[in-house]
Amino acid sequence: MAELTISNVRKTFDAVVALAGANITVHDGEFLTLLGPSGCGKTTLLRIIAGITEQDTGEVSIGEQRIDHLPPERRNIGMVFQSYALFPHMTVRGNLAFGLRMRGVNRSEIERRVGEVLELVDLAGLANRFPKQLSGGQQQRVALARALVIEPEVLLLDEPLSNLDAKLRESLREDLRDLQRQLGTTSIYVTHDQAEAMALADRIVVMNFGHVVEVGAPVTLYRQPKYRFTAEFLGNTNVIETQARGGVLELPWGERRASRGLRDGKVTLSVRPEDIQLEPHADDGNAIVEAVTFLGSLVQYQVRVAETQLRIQTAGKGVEILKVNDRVKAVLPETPHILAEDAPQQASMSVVEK
Amino acid sequence: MNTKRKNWWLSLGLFGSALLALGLPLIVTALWSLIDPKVGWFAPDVIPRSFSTHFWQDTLRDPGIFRSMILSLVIATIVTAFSGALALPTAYALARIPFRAKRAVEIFVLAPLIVPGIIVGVALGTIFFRLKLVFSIPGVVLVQSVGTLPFMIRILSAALEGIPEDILLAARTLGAGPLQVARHLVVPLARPGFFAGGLLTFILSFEEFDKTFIVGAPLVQTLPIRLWKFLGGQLIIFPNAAVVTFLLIVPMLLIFFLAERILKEDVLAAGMGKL
Amino acid sequence: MRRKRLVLPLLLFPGGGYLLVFFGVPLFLAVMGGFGLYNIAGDNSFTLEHYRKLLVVREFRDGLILTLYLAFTSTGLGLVVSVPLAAMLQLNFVGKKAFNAIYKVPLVVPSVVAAFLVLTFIDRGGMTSRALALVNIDMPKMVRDRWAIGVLIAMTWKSIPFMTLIIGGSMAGISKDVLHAARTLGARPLTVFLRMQIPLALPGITAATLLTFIGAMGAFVVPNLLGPVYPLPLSVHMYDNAFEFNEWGLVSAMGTIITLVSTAVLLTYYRLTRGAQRAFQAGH
Repeated sequence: MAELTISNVRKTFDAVVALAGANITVHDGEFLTLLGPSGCGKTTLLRIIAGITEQDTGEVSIGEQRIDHLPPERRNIGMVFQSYALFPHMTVRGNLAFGLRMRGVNRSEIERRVGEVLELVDLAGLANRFPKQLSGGQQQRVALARALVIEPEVLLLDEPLSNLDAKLRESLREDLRDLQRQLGTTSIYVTHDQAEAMALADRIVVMNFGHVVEVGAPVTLYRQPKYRFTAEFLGNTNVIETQARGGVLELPWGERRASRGLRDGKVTLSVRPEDIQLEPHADDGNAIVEAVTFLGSLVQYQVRVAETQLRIQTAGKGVEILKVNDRVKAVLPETPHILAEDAPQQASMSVVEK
Repeated sequence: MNTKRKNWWLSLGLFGSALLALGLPLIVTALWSLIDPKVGWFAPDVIPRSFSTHFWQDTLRDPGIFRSMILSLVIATIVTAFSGALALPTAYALARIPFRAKRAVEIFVLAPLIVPGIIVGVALGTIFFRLKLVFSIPGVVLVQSVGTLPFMIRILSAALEGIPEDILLAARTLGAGPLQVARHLVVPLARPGFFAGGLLTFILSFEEFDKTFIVGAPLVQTLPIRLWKFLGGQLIIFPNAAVVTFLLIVPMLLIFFLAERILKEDVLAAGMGKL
Repeated sequence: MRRKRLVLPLLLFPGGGYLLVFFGVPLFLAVMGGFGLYNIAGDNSFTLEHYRKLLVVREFRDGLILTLYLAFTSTGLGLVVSVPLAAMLQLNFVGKKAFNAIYKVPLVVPSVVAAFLVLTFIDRGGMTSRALALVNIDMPKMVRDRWAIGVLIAMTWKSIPFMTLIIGGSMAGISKDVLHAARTLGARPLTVFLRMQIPLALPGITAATLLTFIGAMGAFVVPNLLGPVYPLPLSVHMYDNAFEFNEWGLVSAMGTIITLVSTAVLLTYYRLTRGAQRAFQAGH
């Protein structure tokens, strides 16, 4: 059972809290993504799991066994580095065989497994090349194969696709997902790219400033984000401040919605651009078009409703494309999604508590 | 993995070795410099029976020693400046201008390190004899520079090479001419390398023996030559040698540590690492 | 384009030209002198007499062997200490900054002083032997002895910071992730040192080895002060023959042989690094 448990892991570098107590359980065979902006602690957490960085407090376990006090070479974890970190003085075959040699696997078995994994990542025939002679995409696949060939209990990936161009990134992303499903290896993937996270993950761990903000499946986090940070980080959204008063939500431009039993006070809404209805040519409309961006399959509008700017997204197929200064009607959904109160960790730069 | 706590065994081992290899010999030397001339320091005494500052006073009062010290410092300074000036254009060419014979020139530049100092000293010495340059400071400077130029050129060219071409081109598009680029960009960016090269050259010159001995002695006596006189003759005069040792080492160490202090990074390592 | 043609020789002239004159000429004269064609005192006529003497006369042959022995051994010992030391300096430990300054001390110590330190500390009658005498241990003779142990100690001592600096520089250029990757794949720290750091720092290691070896070939002061009475290294013979016997031809021949051996070693360096650089780039 390769279930990975992280309990209360904390890490501070000098005066900066890189990780403020992370608690995460990764289920067996799951593809979990750590998502967040630079400096949120996701890479630090990954390196602590790998054993490359030592945590200040907290435990990491695989199944029942604690691994946090073991050196990296005894943790049976495979890691793919952002820079690939291929051994420049060894061929592809040498790189792949290395982990197996460290484990004392015999020569014929090594040959067999190396051959297998080369097939798996579609690099057969390049076994005798040196890393310097490979393209970026090929190097990335060697790095992946090297981590997989040792059949680790857990696979860690640190932004492995970030150095590749967009098209290559997309195609390798799909290959990666298929591979992981096929092998069933418990995997933790670090990225700052929310599209990548949503495409790959079974669950996403959203992180910010060393804290875990939210954990959930991509669909859940996208459609029902609990916190403002999640709503804004995953895709685009309109954050609208409203007032709840006497059973009613007062939108900034006067419209109302039912407040569904909320207490009076400030209420923050998150409305996705694709969830706002746009009625064109509305002479009595509430909004004016300020900007138009045509993206082929989508059209994005920036409209102004009274003092509020809204982003609206519609399908690009067949519809008429509006122009700047057109008067339109923007209609919010009947039950807009309500965000929870700001989590305390949304504050800027934490400092070590004395 | 690399926590400071875990590695204190390493600290212990390294500092212990340093104590044994560096600290103790220097302590012994210090003891030798402080022995009482009336008592001496003979076996089986592990530590001298009585101490005196006699030899320190004796040596420091010796005008010859003082002169040698000044001479060594002066020569080192001149050699550093001279080598730097000679090396800079060549280093620049090697670093930033691609040309076909570059590899050959690089090897040629290192070649002086192959020939023993004695040969260079003797060969140059005979030529200088005819030119009346022997036993003179200029002669010593010229001969020492042969040994310091390879290092200067190598370190300087490594420093200059490290400046990305793009930065200089950007400056040109912003309107800077070649000389301005040199002044405002090249020199500041290559400064740590210059410093490392200068430091190394100064040190090499200060402690140079072979070539200086042949060309300079007996009229130009740098400090190392003085020390040799205390050790190589029929009589080995330990206490004087001990004092001169400190006179030789202490200024060097001071300059060395000061240099490392002033510069944030480990300049010598950076410079030598690119060798 | 035409300006560049002029600029290049102009730039190369100060440094390159200086070396050509003040180094190339002595070298040329030395080679000539070895063949008897440039004699300071006496006539110039081609002869192989000097080289014949070198190979035939026992003390010169043995001197050459001793010179080679000292160069190889002190360089080898230096490597044995410097390579692990350079690796250790890549780690983090208490007092690292201080140690970084301390280990470089022998760099600023002239070889004369190094010889002196050996004399006072290690020689019979020196501090160590007196201390050991207290516990009735007899110290072996290490100065002016057959195996030139004192000489080796002093030469190695001087060469360690130099080698460590160069090798450490090379090791620092190895991407840390490459070493981490090896750890995650199951390699123990010792394995990482042997299979990753050493191969990837090979350019620095060869550079350090060659520069040290070449310098050791010409070492004069330390063998002169601490070395055995017989045989004497070639450098000492050169000195004696130059100043006491005026045998310039012989001196030149000796110098030329030393230079030839060093040149062979230097050329080997360039061949080795060329091959290594083609296969891979260190680090990255």
